[in-house]
Amino acid sequence: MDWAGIVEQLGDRLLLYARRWAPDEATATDILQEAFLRVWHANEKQPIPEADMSARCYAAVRRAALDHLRSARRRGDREAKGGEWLYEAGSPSFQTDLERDEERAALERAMSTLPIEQHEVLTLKIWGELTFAEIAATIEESPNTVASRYRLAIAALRKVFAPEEAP
Amino acid sequence: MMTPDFDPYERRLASFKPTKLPPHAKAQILSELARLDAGSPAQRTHVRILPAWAYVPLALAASLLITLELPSFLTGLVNDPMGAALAAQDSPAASGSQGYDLNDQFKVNTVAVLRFAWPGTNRSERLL
Repeated sequence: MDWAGIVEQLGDRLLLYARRWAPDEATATDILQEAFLRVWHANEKQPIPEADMSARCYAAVRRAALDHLRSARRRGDREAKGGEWLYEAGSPSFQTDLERDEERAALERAMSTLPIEQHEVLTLKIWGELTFAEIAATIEESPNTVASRYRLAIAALRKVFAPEEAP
Repeated sequence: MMTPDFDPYERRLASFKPTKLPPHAKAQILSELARLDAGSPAQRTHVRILPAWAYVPLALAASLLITLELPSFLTGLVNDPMGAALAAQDSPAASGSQGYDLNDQFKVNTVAVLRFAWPGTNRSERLL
């Protein structure tokens, strides 16, 4: 298994997904590492087809993040009690480009207003490039629910974020 | 590779690239994966020698040995598994009858198989 290639190909996008569940960058990368180790062990038990690797990695990130959240709740972390973390301010989720920095900031503000369920589906669809069926398997919901959340997320986003036309 | 059914709005969203995984985090992840890939010889041998289902009959066989008659064997096993089994095989009582010999040989084999299946660990003792 070409783990270096998988980390190279999926690392950035998985980190974006992990960020939604983590209070800071260090925790997000810890979650990501834990997820990769889980995928490694799963692959040892039963080899994962290359076509399924992306979805399996996202599912592993989700499970690792939820485990992390549960243990944080047990410790009584205040931010975890509401069911989600407040990601530290000033840590952009998308690459900074001087020409599009305002647009990027607007996108991140708009995304932060989405309910976590819609945010999750949007991230998996747009940046994870998963199908609705794969997303459904990842978050253990029905494909119809996933598609509905995605439509709501896009509709909500369109109201508050209008990207500039591509040059 | 981009999902082909995106409309222009979705494509515009997708044009924002997630921030890069920090190099130190990537190096740490790759290091952990490489460590797992290398594995310890004991772990790798364990994986290759027996599939998971094979431990079920082994466990049953070991459990049967204990249930039948072997408190002294068990005591010896915890302290010195191979020694206890070999001592039982070499004892005068062991040569008393053919049945007893076979039983002792079974003990030796079971212990040997368990220790071979889990080299470098105490799992065989824990199981028993």
